[in-house]
This record gives sequence, structure tokens and C-alpha cells, in this order.
Amino acid sequence: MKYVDEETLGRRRRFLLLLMTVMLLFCIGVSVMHFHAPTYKERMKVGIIMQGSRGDPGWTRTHYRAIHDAGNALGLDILVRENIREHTSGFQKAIKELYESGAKYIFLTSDAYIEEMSYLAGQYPDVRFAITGVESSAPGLINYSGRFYEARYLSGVLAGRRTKTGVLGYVAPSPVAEVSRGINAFALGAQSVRPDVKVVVAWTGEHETHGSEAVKNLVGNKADIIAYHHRGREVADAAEAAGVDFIGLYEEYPELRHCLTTIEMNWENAYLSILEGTNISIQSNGSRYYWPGTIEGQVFLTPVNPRLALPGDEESLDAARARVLSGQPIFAGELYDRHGRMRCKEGESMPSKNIASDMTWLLKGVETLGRQ
Amino acid sequence: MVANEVSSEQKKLYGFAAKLILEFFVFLIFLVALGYFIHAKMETLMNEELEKVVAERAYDVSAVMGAKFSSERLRLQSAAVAIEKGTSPEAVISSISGKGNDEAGLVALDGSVVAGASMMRSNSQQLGLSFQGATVTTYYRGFGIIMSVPVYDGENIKYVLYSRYNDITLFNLFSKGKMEKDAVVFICNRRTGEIVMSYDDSAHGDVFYDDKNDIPALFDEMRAGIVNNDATAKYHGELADGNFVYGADIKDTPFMLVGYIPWNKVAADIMSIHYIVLWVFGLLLLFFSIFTLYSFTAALKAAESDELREARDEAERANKAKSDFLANMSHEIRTPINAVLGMDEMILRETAEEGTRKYAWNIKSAGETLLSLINDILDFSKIESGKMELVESQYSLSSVLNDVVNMVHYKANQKGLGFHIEVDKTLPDSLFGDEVRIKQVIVNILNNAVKYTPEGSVTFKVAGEKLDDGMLELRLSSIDTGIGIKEEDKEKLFSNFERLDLQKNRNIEGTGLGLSITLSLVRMMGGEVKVDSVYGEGSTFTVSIPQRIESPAPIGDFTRRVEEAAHDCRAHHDTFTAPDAKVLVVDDNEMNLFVVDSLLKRTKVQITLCGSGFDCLEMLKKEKFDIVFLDHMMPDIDGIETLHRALDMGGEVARTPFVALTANAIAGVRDMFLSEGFTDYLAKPIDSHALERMLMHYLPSEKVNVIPAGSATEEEADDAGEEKTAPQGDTEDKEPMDNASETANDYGGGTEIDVATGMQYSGDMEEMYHEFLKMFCARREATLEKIEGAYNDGDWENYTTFVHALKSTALSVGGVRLSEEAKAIEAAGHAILDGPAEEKEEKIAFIREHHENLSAMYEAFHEEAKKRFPEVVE
Repeated sequence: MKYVDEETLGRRRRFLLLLMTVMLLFCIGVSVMHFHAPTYKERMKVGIIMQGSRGDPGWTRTHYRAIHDAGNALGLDILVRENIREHTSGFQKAIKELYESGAKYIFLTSDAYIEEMSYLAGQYPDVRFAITGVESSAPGLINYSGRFYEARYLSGVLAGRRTKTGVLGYVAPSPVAEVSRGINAFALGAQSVRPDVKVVVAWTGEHETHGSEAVKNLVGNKADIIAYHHRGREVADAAEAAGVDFIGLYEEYPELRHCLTTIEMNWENAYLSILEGTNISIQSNGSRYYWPGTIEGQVFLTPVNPRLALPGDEESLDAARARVLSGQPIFAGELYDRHGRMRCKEGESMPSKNIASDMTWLLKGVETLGRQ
Repeated sequence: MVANEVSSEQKKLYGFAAKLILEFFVFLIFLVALGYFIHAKMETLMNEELEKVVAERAYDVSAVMGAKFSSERLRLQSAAVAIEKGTSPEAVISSISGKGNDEAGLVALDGSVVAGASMMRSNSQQLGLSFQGATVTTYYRGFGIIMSVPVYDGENIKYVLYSRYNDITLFNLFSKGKMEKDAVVFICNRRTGEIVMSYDDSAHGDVFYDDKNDIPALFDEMRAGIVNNDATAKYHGELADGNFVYGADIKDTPFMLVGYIPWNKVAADIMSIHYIVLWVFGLLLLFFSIFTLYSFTAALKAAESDELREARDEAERANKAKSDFLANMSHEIRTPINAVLGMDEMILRETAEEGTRKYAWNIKSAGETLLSLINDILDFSKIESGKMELVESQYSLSSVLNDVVNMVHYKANQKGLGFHIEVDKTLPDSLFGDEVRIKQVIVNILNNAVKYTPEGSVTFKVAGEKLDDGMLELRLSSIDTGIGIKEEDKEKLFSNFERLDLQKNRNIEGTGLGLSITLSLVRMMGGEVKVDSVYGEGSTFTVSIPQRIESPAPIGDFTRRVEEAAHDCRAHHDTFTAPDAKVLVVDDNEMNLFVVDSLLKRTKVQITLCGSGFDCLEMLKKEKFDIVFLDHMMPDIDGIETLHRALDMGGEVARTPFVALTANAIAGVRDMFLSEGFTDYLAKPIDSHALERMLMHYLPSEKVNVIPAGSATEEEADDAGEEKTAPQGDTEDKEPMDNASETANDYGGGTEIDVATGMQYSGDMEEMYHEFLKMFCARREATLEKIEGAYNDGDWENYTTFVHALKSTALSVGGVRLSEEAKAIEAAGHAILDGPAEEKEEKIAFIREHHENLSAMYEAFHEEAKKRFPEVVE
């Protein structure tokens, strides 16, 4: 007779139970594994294409730092492509690489790319392109910049009340809208405190070169305060070397003693705003642009250099700033260009669209110097 | 003991059940946990999906709102265009005022109101932006939303046209904003979270309102969520019993939508899926429970069947032990019966005195009855253990019938019953089968009939039916006029140890095995037993056994054949003398030696007796014997070993016939002995005829002087005559004990020794009685010492056993008083061992009181024995 004792039976049963448990666990485990939803919360990738390298002072460096910080704040991965020149195969390649890396946004920090972008943007419908500058745009592009002209107006106020010679120098690459509205605003600001002031513009043709020659030229024309529209610090260094006070741009260089004040923009906020999709206006052609100014706190003038500050400087600036903040447009009222043509009637104001892209003229009271 | 077993069994069962229940619960907890996990997972997944759904709906709502805004803006812009085109500002403003908005106005660059309502001061920034060409929408707390558009004059902007929407008109503007009836929705500034409007007054101060920052709860999360998404939604289980929070950008406005919708409002439809999953899981749980329950009961059943199996094994072991015990006992009992019957045979041969012969005859009768009982038991144990074998050979049916009839006829006559026999004359006489067993079967049913028939007659009918292939179905019937069998008892008829109608049959001796053995034997032989009975009128037992016909010669007239057989039998009953023959008998039991010696006295052979195997071997070395009877079971070296050593001696010894003596006469034993080298074997108790036949067969013929039966000695003639007369002897002689008790006590002047009783137990042989007496006295010290030892140790079990032994031996030598004293003490001893605990002390006291008495009486007995039998006891 086959007699199975209690212990063996118990062992068998326990084994059976264990087997059952393991099998059940396996089945349930496998089925539960298949439950999971697709995860779509991976870090968004954002690309940035720059003409210079991230360490270049001024424009490029500030952009790089700003997008880097904004990316950190929003938890984004920033893919950087440096030293990309427009009209080269490198540019297209950079865009392709960024696209293939999964970038959902691509920022272009120079309006020089705009021509290519007008047809490239359509090739990447999944990608949002944003390009600096508000002068020209293309459908699907986001134009972003700041209303620097407001800060230039304020710096004009400061320069106008400080100039002894009544001549203010201005170094600029060429009379495009972006440059002209800055010159005009500067002139308007200066004229608002000293109506007879003269703004002398020295063209350099390029954004990066001929700054020191221009400075010399301007100083030669009795300019005692110099403003500039250059990406780098060449002009600032030249003015410092010449011992002329100047209005800085984009970033402060504390070692330069002749810097009265610096026009700056909070690019980080700009990038945050663009990435968050807020404060973007739609233009009639369907492109979107982001162009904040003093009211939004994006463009501002740094405090006047205390070593150079004269009594009343800050007060005048505050009064002017208050006007701007109250909503008073800069380009309003009677405005004539240097050829005497009326650009704006009394009691009217110029719309941003015109300021952004049409203002290639220079205000009455602005003189230009050719390149020497 | 029994109670302990039960409780330990129960404990085991409980432990087992507890283990199972524990396993069940552990698994259940595991499953429930798993279920909870799956549930949570399901919910998370579902909520993730629902979030997408809610987000899409939020987007739709926000798109509708955006469109609403857009149309308002368009309305305002077209109004501005109308003004540009020269329509009177007043007319334009009045046409757009109160149409969904509250009021409208036109303002110049210097802030002066050109037409319509005046603007609040703090909105100059907005105006400034509009003077730069932007269409601006701003919310002012407590004032409402102001939408402003530029009015161009050529290239430049001359005025700003604005429109105001207070809270009420806003509500209309956003009237499509509610997703669901139960949703709480805020319209708020996208950047700051400042609440523009809410759909529920109750929203302030409740969970959906962030009082500290004055923004909707979870605004930051929603705001982050709409970065790069038009709308977002997130499930928050902690928010008022679970709410989906959703946010959506309202396009081209600085506003966004933040709403809260209870989980069940969104999930209501999907809930059913959820419930199905839960239901399925529940079902799974149910299945699991059923399965566990099933396995629980199965395991329980398995455990129970284990117990049953154990019980069955136990019972089988017990049964085996019982069978072994019975076999051993019967074996053990056969040895003394051997002695009794042997000596009785001696008495019958040697004593001429009528009274003694009568007693001896009675002893023989009782002894044979006892032997038959023992044989029954042996048979039974053989059948039980499956060792019963049929030994088939050719036999004469008439001879069998003759033997049986002689036996039963005598018994029936003794009881005053008529015994008739009817044998079918055409039956073949020569058959092939197990003669012994057939005889046993017939004797059993006939004895049974005689036993249970108080008056009337027993008829034995032998008939048969020829079957094909030379077989005969032998039909043996016993028809009696006895007490009959109740219908309900018929089933029990053939059970072991069953005796029916005990009340009525208490006087009838028997083991209750007879019919059971009969049935077994008949079945072994391929036959069957049929019983017809009418209670109170009689029974008919019919046994049908198939037997092979060896010779078709018919049995003929049986009566005549019986007579012939009787004549043959007498003729064959030769005796002999062999004065020259040398016989060696080896047995460790002196009594057996004595018996063989006595039985062979008549043949005048030279007998040498030997007490052990070693002695036997010594004798064989010294002398040459014609035959050796060698007992099987002996201490030190047994019969087989002795034989082997003897055969190893070679020479004459090896050629000597060795006959095994054994009381263990089970089937196969003959073959065993022959294979061991024995010449033959003889079963104990030794039958004198068998012994003589054995001698005649194996002794050299020249040493044997055969005396033909016809010329039997005087003694034998007397013997035979006695045998013949005995059956007619009166029935009073049946019980020797009764005779003994009727005899007056013979104390012969003493007080301790009743010689008559002693003689009675010694077979009325003075010599033997003296022998017993001598032994009893000689063992006095040893016996008392043992009893004393057990008494001092308080070992009541041994004490009782020893006293019990003393009780029997004392009685057998006539120590009636001593025996009775011992009996009383023994009873007390049993009470101590098995009786109730409260009586124990009392009984121990009793023993202490009588213990001394016992040895004193033993001493007294000894003294008296010394006095009365000085030549026997020293």
C-alpha cells in the first residue's frame, strides 16, 4: 500500500501554493507591465543658433546666458550651435541637426538668418523658430526683441543734459530700421532736454568692426558723449581709450570708467516669455512677435555711473522714465526727418509696426558721417 | 490514554486547519494588496487619459472664449476703422456701447476724451500701448476689462477707441466658459493669476481659491502646464474628494482659464469600465476563495483518509497480532494437550481397572474436543493469514463418509438424536480433491447440526451432479430438526466468532469459528454453502463442491461399503514389536519424552531419551540408532540445526532416518522439513497409530515383528472394546470436573492439601501427583522470593502475575486454601491495576494484610506435604 505521510503531503501542498503564487504573480506582473501609459513628459529640447561663440562679449554672450538660465528655470535642454554664419551650408546643417535631436524650439540670435528662414521654416512644421529682430518677418516665425529705443530715448535724455559741446556721437553699422529708431529715439531724448543738441552718426558698415575709427572720427567732430549700436565692446573700449564718456550696450563692463550707463535687456525673461507663449502678438501676416519694452520691464537703463553722475541726472531720467511708463509713446507728436518731411502730426503717435520696420529715416537734428 | 489520543488528534487537526487558514489569509492579503495596487494603477492610468480628455475640453472652451474675445475685438477694430473713415465718433460709440459691453469711448493722445465715456486714469499705460498700435485687453479690478484699439489717421495713430466690460457683461462674454454644471471655473490673468471673474460666488474662501495669493488654487501648476500646450489638466485626488484641475490659454488675451471639475463628473461614463475591472478582480478573488476552500477540504479529506488509513493499518496490525497470537497460542496449547492425550492413551492401554479407564476415556474425549477447537483456531489463523493450502489427492469418498459418519453418529447418539444417512448410490467413489478438508467441512456442518438440535434427528444427504469435463458437483447436505436460524441472523452466520442467539445457546460449546472456516474452505475448493432454515423448525446446510472424478465406479450401497471399510480398517490395524530396534527420541520437554516413551513401550523397542540437541549429537556419536525422532523447537540448537550437524557427521548417522516432531503443523511444514533433510515428520500431539506406522515404515523390516490385527493382544482387544462401549456411555460422564467436584474432599487429616483435587489435576496418577507436589514444594522458595520482590518493589503487575501463577499451581497440587487466598489477592491486584483509582488504596491495604498470610500458607502447605508425603517431599 502506498502511504503518503503528513509531512510529504504538507510539503507538496506548500510547493503547489508557492507555484501558484509565483505563477499568479507572473501573470499579474506581466499584465500590469503592459498597462503603463506612454510617457510624454520628457524634457523639451530647445536649440539656439548663434553667429558668434557663447563667450563673445555683448550680444552673443548675453543671449547665451539668458537662454541657459531660462532653460534651467523651465527644465529644458538647451542645444547650442555656435559660430554659424548665414548663407552657409553650416546653417542649414545646424537646423537639421537640432531638428533631428528633437528640438521643439530653435532660436536664431541674428536677423541675418531671416532670408534663409523665410523658406526654411516651412520645412520644419514641428519646430517653432524664433529670430531676433522685428524688422522683417516670415510666416511661422516668432520675431523677438526689445524696445531698445525706449532706453535709447532715456540715455538721450541723460546725454543731452550732460553734453558740453552739444554734440553727441553715435556709432552704428548702417541706417536700417533697427538702427535708425535707436538713433532717432536717442536724438529725441537729447532734444527733450536740450533742443539744439546735435547727434552725429558714424557708420561702420558692420556690426563688429571699425568701431574705434568711428569713435575717433566722432571725437574729432567734437562729440563728448558717445552712444553705439554694435554687438561687441569695440566701441566701448575705443571710447574708454579716448577718454570719452559713452552709453554702454547689452552688458556692463565695470572696468570701463567712462561708461555713463548701459542699455540692457532682460533676455532671460524674454526667453521665458517666448517659451511660455505669453505676450506674443500676432501680426497681420500671421507671424508672431515679441517686443516688450520699459513697461514690461524688459528693456532698461542701468543706474548712472556714480563716479560720473551729476546732480539731477537721475531725477531727469526718472521723470523721463515715468513718462514712458505712463504709456506716453516716444514717437508721437510733431516729428520731422532730417530732410524736413513731417513724419508724425501733432496729437498723433506712430504705431509700433512703423517703428519696427519702416523707420529708416533719421530725425531732424541728426547728422551722419561717412566712413573715413 | 484514549482521551489523550483523541485530544492529540484534535490538536493535530486544529493545527492543520490553523495552518491552512493562515495560508489562506496570507494569500488573501497578498491578493487584496495586489488588487489595491492594480486598482491604484488603473485609476492613475485612467486619470491620465481623463486628464487628456479634460484638457481637450478645456481647450475647446478656451477656444470658444477666445473666439468671443476675438469677435469683440473685431467689432471694436471695425468701429475704429469707421471712425478713421470719417464717421462721427459719437455715432460710432453709441452704436457699439451697450452691445455686450458697458460703455465705450474715444480718447486722444493727450488723454482727453473725444467722445463716449471717460477712461479711468490708471489705464494710461494701456492707452500708450494702443497709441503704439497694439490692441490691448486689460483687466482692472473692480472696473472690469478694457479693450483698446488704435484709430489711425493715415500712417499714425490719432485716437484710441476703447470698450469696457464690467463684471456682468464679462459674464455674458464668457458665458460659454463652464464645462460642466458642477465645475468651478476662474478666468484669470495668465501672468499673475489675478482673478478676472469666477463663475461661482462660493469660490472665494473654498478649496479652489488660494486666499494667500488671491489666485486660483494650483494656478502655477496650470500656468506651467500651458507652456507649449494650449490646455492642460491634472488630477488632484486630495482636492475636495478628487478633482481634475484644468487650465487653458485664452488666445490673444492676457487671460487663461482655470477650472476644477469633480472626478466623478468626468469619469462617470468611464466608471463602468473601472467597475468591470473591479468586478473581474472580485470574481477572481471569489474563484480563489472557492479554490482555496476546495483545496482546504481536499487537504482535510486527505488528512482524514490518512488517519483512516492509519486506523486501518492499526487494525490490520492488531488483527495480524491476534492471528499470530492465536497461532502461537494454539501451538503452545498443543504441546500440553499432547502430553495429556499421550498419557491418557497410556492409561487406556495399561489400566485394566474399569473406573480408571472410564475417566481416561473422558479425558480423551475432552482432550480431543479441545484439540479440535485448537485446530479450528489454527485453521482460522491459517485462513486469515492466507497460509491455508489445499493438498489434493485421489481419495475414496466412501472412506471419507465413513470416517465422518462414525464420528458424528457417535455424537448424535450420545445426545439422543437420530442420525440418518442417505447417499446417492450412483455417485462415483473415487474422486480427486483435498480429502482432509472435505472431511473437515462435513464434520463441521454435521457437528453444527448436532450441536444445535436438542431433539429429533440429523440427516446427512450426499448427492451429486455430474458436470462436463469429468467434474462432479458433490452436494453434501445436513438437515436437522434443530432450533433454526432467524432470518436476520443468516447474514452473521458465517462471520468469525459469531454465535447466534447467545441467550438460548449459551450452553453450547464452540469458538464460533466452525462455519466461518467451513465457508472459507468451501470457497477455496470452488464451492458454495447454502442455508435454508425455519426458525424453531430446523435448518438445512447444503455444501456444493466441485470435485474431479477419478474413476466412474459408483459408490454403491453405502451402508455396505461402510461395513467393508470398517472391516478393512480393522484388518490394517496391525501392531508390531521390535525388541532389537534402537530409537532415539530428542525433545527438550520431558513430558513429551515421557509420552513417546510410554506410547512405544508396547512395541518393546529400545528407547533412548535425550533432552537437547547437543545430547543428541553425543548419543549419535556413541551409538547407532535405527530411527531418530527429533523435536523441532528446542533451546540452544533447534531440531534443524541438530540434524544438519548430525548429517555432517556422515557415515551411519547420515543414513539414519530422522523424523521431525513438531507441534507447528501448518501447511508447507512437511516440505520444509523434507527440504532440510528430515526423512519425515510427525505432528504433535503424537498419535500412537501414526507413531507406530512411522516406526513400521522406517525400521528395518528384519527387526519388526508384525502382529496381524486379528491376533491382537488381550490388552488391545479390551482397548477396542472399551472404545466401542464408550459411545454408549452415559452422558453424565461428560465433564470430568463435575465428577471431581462430586468427590468428597480428601484432606487426609491435614488442612492444606486436598489430595483428591490434586489427583484430579494430575490425571488421577499418583506418581504424577507426587511429582507435581515435589516440584511445587521445591519451587516454594523461588516462587515466594519472586512474589516478595514484586511486593517490595510495589510492582503490582508482576505481583499479580506471580500470585496468579501460584493460584493455578497450588490448585493443581490440591492446595485449595492457598489457591483461594492467592485468588483473593490476585483479584485485589487486578483491581489495583485496572480498577477505579479511589479503590486502589483500599486494595493495596488488602494485599498488605494478606501478603504475609500467603507465604505463611505456602509454608504450612509445605509442612503438611512433608508430613503426609515424607517419601516425596523433603
